[in-house]
Amino acid sequence: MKEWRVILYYTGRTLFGFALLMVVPALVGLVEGDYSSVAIFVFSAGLTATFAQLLSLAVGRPERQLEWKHGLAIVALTWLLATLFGAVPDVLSGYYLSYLDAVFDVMSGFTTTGLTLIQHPDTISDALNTWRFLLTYVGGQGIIVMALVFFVNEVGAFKIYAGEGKDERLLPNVRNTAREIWRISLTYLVIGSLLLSAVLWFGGLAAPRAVLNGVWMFMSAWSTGGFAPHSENLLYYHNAFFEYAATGFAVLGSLNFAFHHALWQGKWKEIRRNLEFLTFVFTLNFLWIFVAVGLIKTGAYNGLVSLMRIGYLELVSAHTTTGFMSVYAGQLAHSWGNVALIGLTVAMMLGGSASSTAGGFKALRIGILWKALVLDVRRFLLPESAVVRMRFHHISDVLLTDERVKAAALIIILYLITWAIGSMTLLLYGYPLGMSLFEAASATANAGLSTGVTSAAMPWVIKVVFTLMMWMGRLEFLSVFVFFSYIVRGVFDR
Amino acid sequence: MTGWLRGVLVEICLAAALFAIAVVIAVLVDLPHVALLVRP
Repeated sequence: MKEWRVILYYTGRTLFGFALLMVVPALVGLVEGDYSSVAIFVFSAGLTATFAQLLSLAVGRPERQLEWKHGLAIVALTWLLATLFGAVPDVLSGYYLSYLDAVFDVMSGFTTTGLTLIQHPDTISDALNTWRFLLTYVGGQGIIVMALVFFVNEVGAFKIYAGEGKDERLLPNVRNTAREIWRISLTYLVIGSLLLSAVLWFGGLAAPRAVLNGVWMFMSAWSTGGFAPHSENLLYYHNAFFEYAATGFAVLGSLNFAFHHALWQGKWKEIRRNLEFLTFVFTLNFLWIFVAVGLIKTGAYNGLVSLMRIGYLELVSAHTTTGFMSVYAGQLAHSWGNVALIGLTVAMMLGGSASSTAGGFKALRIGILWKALVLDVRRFLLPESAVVRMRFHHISDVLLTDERVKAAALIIILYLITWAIGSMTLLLYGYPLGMSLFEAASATANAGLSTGVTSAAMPWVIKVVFTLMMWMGRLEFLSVFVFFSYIVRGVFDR
Repeated sequence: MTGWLRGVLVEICLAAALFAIAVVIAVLVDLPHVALLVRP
């Protein structure tokens, strides 16, 4: 029980911070005179804040120090509760067929996946749209990262921070690390929103709509989320420059915050030496050869311009796990052909960088496994008595140890198992193999591309399985497993 | 120029460079004699 006190106390504190976020869409509603949205968000904020405070007060301030295991469980529980409460304004808005659909959508936003079950997205209020994109933006940086900056100031905070899949310290102090992450994100928010808004304004959108769409789409791109305020997603804007710019920001969002920090410090050598960045560049271009050949083979797009604007942007969208759609789901399923679709599926699974807003295996882990393979081959080629060591560069020079290789391989195996479970669930419900593999990869890696499987009409079991997959994939499994082991122990130790 | 602005500009150039590499690959793959190999 003492351990649960620690977990519940800090979960309550973090959830309280999350409740305050709901004030932002309420303010948007207030400015626009949309009082029903104001009422929805004020009620939801009050409900969440009351629950959070009661939770913290009920258990009281714990005497025990935070330990790693507590931090991991706190993260998993906070993300779960934030999703359940975050879905309240969604379901009250009337744009979801059920509470489960709203929970699916919020988890998808939070985990920067981008799969959606919303009904008539083109007609929803600006307040609700702001909420959906704010969730994506905050989820991308991390709820805990946000809480560490604004609400929690505790010794041992790194133990919570690390559970969110961002285990790199940009600066010695974890609070300063969280601040630096927000400094980078907010700087890009200003620059990116201005640029995208200007493009839309020059493209003919009225100024207020251009600004709102620019801010929302930047949040979606930077967080590698993939939500869009219109059902046609990127296609709605009919603007090539906008599509390239938005996808470019998705590339930047998928880079490691430590990499951003290093470049902002003038450490240019990272560009040619950083294992993670180089791995990402290699896999992206390697897969591009496959996708381009696949698209030429099927004759889906003729000419360089359409090949780049549709084919390459979709591949980048998949590899950065953004999920922007510059084609209709039906086209993806029926016109792209197997080679290009497999290319996209692999790209989604590989994902972006560790300690970024992206999902998937992460380029750093792929790079570590590649180095381990090279090291093993070298060991075979050299005399048995030779001691072979290998280093790789990622912000600093790091020794390749068995421990690092094991950790990277373990997470990748867990992603593959989750992907297999998701695919088999879809197959059990009669979906074709190719579509099942693609859609399950999209949910596991928090990518958000869809061949049309994800819809409000899909069985509730798939919605639940996908929601869990998105949650586990975003937190990289460990936090969720520790959380479940606490529950199992709680049940059996009675 | 401040560090962050220089960093942002370099990063935007990096993203642009990635697109440029992709164009080169697309051109090579789409060359008629290469495309003939993969077209049915």
